[in-house]
Amino acid sequence: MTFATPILAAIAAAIAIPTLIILYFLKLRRRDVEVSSTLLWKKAVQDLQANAPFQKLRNNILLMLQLLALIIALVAIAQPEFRHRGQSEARRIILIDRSASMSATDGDAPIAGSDSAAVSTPSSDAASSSAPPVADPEKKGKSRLDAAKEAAIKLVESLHEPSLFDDTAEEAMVIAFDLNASVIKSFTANKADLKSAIESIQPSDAPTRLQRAFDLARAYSGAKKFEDQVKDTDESGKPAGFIPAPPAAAIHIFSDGRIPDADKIQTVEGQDRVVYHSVGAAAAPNVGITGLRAERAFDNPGRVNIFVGLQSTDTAERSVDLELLIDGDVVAARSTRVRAATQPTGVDTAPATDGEAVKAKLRPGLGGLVFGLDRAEGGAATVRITTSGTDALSNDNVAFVTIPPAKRLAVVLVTNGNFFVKTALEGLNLSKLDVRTPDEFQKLLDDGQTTQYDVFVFDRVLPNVKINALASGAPAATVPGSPAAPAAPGAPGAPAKNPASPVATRGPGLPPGRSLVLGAVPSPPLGVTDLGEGQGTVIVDFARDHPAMRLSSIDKINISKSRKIAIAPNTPVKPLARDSFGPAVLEIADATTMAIVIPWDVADSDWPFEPGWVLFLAGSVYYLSEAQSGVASEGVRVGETLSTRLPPGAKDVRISTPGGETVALEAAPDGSVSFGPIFDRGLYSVRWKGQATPIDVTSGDSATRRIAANLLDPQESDVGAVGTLVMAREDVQSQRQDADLTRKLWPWLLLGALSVVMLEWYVYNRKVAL
Amino acid sequence: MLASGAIKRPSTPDELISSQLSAALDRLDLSTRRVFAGKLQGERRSKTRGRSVEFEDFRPYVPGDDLRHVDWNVFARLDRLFIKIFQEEQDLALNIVLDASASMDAGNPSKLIFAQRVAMALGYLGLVNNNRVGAWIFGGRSDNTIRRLPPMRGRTNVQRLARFLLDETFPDAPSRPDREEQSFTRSLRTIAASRSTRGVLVLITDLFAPEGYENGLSLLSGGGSSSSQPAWDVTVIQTLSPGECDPQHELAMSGDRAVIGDLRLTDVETGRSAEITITQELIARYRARFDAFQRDAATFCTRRGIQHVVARSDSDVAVLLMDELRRMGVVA
Repeated sequence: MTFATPILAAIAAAIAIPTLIILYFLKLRRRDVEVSSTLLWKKAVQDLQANAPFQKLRNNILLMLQLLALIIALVAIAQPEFRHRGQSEARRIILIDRSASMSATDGDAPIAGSDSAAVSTPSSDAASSSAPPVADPEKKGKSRLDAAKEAAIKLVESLHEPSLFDDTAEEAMVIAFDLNASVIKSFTANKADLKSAIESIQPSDAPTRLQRAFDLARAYSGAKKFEDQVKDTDESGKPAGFIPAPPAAAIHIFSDGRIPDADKIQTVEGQDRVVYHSVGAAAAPNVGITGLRAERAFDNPGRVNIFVGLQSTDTAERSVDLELLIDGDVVAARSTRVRAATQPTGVDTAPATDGEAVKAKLRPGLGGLVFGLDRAEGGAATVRITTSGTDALSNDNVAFVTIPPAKRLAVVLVTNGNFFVKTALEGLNLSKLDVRTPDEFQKLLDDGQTTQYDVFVFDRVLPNVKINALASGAPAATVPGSPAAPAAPGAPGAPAKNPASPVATRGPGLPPGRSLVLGAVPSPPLGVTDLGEGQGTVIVDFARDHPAMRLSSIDKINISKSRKIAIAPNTPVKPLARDSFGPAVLEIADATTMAIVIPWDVADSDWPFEPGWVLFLAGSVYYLSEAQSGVASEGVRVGETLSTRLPPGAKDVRISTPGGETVALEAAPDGSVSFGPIFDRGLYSVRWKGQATPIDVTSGDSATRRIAANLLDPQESDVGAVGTLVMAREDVQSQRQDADLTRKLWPWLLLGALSVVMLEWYVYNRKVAL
Repeated sequence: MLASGAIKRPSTPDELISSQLSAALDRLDLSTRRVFAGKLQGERRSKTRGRSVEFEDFRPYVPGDDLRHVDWNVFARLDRLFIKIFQEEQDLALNIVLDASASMDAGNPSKLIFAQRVAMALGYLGLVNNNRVGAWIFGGRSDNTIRRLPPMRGRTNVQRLARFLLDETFPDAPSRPDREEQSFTRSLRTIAASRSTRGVLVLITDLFAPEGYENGLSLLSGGGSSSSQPAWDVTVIQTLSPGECDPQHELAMSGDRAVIGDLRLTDVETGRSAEITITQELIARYRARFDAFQRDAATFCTRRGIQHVVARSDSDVAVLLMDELRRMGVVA
């Protein structure tokens, strides 16, 4: 038991107790009684006083009761707290956020969640110093991760250890999370182990996702009850009910609260107990690169545009200097201004609660810059912020991007004649556009000569290919009339060279490679089933962010004859657009094929008359060609697994990390390699011996592909710590101490004091004193 | 022990002495251990020899003697003149002194009313037996005066005595003015100085005098052979309330919650207060003190030749007179 205000209680006791006793001596409560003579009484009292100086106080139950009531009230003033050791607290799971934003150097800042820290109203000339508790990153104080580790160690130190009278010990486990989550230390009561495990957590450059960590924690927390526990029966055969599960562990999250998926995490009432410990300052000015992309122009592949997206959480407009480095050499330096963070409109600037404070958080100011340069060859570009100034987070000041070599695509159009498509493709800056009839293409395909084309465009036709249900990755869907064939031998990525294979059937399908299919439906093994012609319709929804669909204006078109399509679940098919009957545009990606499919005839719509049609064609062709590498030029995000597909036959694959480490990789049969999850941003180089794709750099017989790993997360760059973790079912307030663990005793004490006073009154009236 | 407060006080002579009591008293007479000389011929043998029926002796006739007292039978036989000497029967002087101080006006039942009735009964006894009865009442008055009823004789004066007792006993003001120091001693000194004849003095008091009862009683019992003043046969009827004898007993009987816990006891006589916390131990101490007080009083009275009778205010007046006082020889 601890006391919150022991000094206050001691002072009050020093005043009140003597006062009560003095009042008793002063006899304020005496009643007047007239007697014939006090002579004998005085003598009797003198007799008693001669025996004991405190005779008057002795055996006076009223005084004793009043003293008791007073002492209880005084103890209540001291606010004793009893640390409640509920079962749920016997085990704790410590979740420590090690994401990029936890590297912000405002760990010393007051905890977020106080009202003043939640919102700072920006002013036009606001200097950053005028904002309320603003961390000063120039001081390079301890990082948020360090602060979180310190807080977690304090929590570990507060764990109950076995004592003489109580041999139960509190256990804890440690999980570190960013995009992924890993158990650093399993449940143990050994504080030294726990502390060293916490100390060993290193910061990463990855963004934050709580879901995996939460799932991991929940798996260990013992909150779930399993069905077999219910089915158990006792000796008489009756159900025994639940076997008592081990006490559910409380989940302690140490984070700055920049968790985008926190509001998707469902907590179960009565089982999940989440305690949030916030670190960092609510207002932390930070400028970071949140977007980076290198693109070559359609019409001039030798021209590279590097788009840089910037974000600032400063309440004042910031001037930012940027440097562009290609392969380590500075090739350009530009300056731009990033707008000040603004108050979201329609939100009260004086939030009443922390929950509203979260909503009222400043919206970061955005800025952007485009570096344009003429460069035909590929390269690795680095963009970095060189401006000095208050900046809470340094991880997001550098970003990397690979520039693909200028390459003009070779495209084959397989058609019986289509003016719209041919004209549109001719408008693209392609190195080669061949127009073939289906028979001609079938012959090329059968001869294995289609590798000269980067992208196939099928107009209302599909070649006959070997249909292999298993190779397609589709479930047990079968072609009517043709039994499902077992897996074909040989490399799946290679063109089918043995059409007469007794185990394979042939039918209209997608050849290995990149295809844009217009007005045809591939065979069912891919997971797509043609249900026949549909009625006229319009597009109701489409993937606006997809590179192929971005500028397509497909939502504006009318379709006179649609096609009803069904997609089997768990297939590598995803719809890019939907009309009122179902999927209208599909993307199919399995081990050997990559295709964008429009099942209906474009000529039966007014799409060809829209500019978006040409843009869709161009976007699709370039998307498909780039997708050959498996990694878009944006690269991968830190925390994810780096995976790319190398040309078939790649050997001796090695990957070099930004830190200089080289790791040998084993390529899968389809050429894909995986590495990671990766924790460091920078440029990763995959080197192999064998064929190279157009985006790779070749030297001799070896090829190199560079892949950029970036943070590029607006959530992480918006480093203001959050005082309240908004989860799906509850808002968890940040707290320094686990207040719920302690039970305040003073209300009970006051109640006890009241009871004693009432007892005293009763005794007084029942004259128990005599 | 407690101040009696609003208790109905007797207002008519019949309330002072009931007809049954008066009938019972008619068979009694006052008695005294000593034989006093009375002023008038009465029903009591006195030291004065004279005309009565009680023959005592003969003596030779000397000229001047009343010839009516010559025993002529002896003269006929012896031829010498002898005078018959008779023990003359004289009246007895009864002085009733009633302590009406504030301490007496307390207790449940009221000590003062009890004392009043005892005084009335004694006075009645004296009057019906043709004794001279006088009365004093002291205390209870703002001017500290001592009220006196001059000696009187005969049954006809019973009403007068009763009216005196009714009118002069109780305090004249609701507040308790009688807070003069030494009131007990001073009053008894005055009474003792005013005595002119020998006789019986009955003092009805509680002996709770702030200054002590010793001096006062010494003055009353003084005189006699060693003094120029005539001596009194003094009897003290110490009137006590039940609560004074046993506080706890009174509490148990009355159910009164006043004498409990922390009290400020105010002496009605002096107005001084004593603050005490009443406990069992304290009550035991009080009882011991009370017993010692009573013992001292009895010893003191014995040494001074004073008869000491203790009468509780809840006892019967008839029993007191016909039992206690008769046994002690005050009443015969």
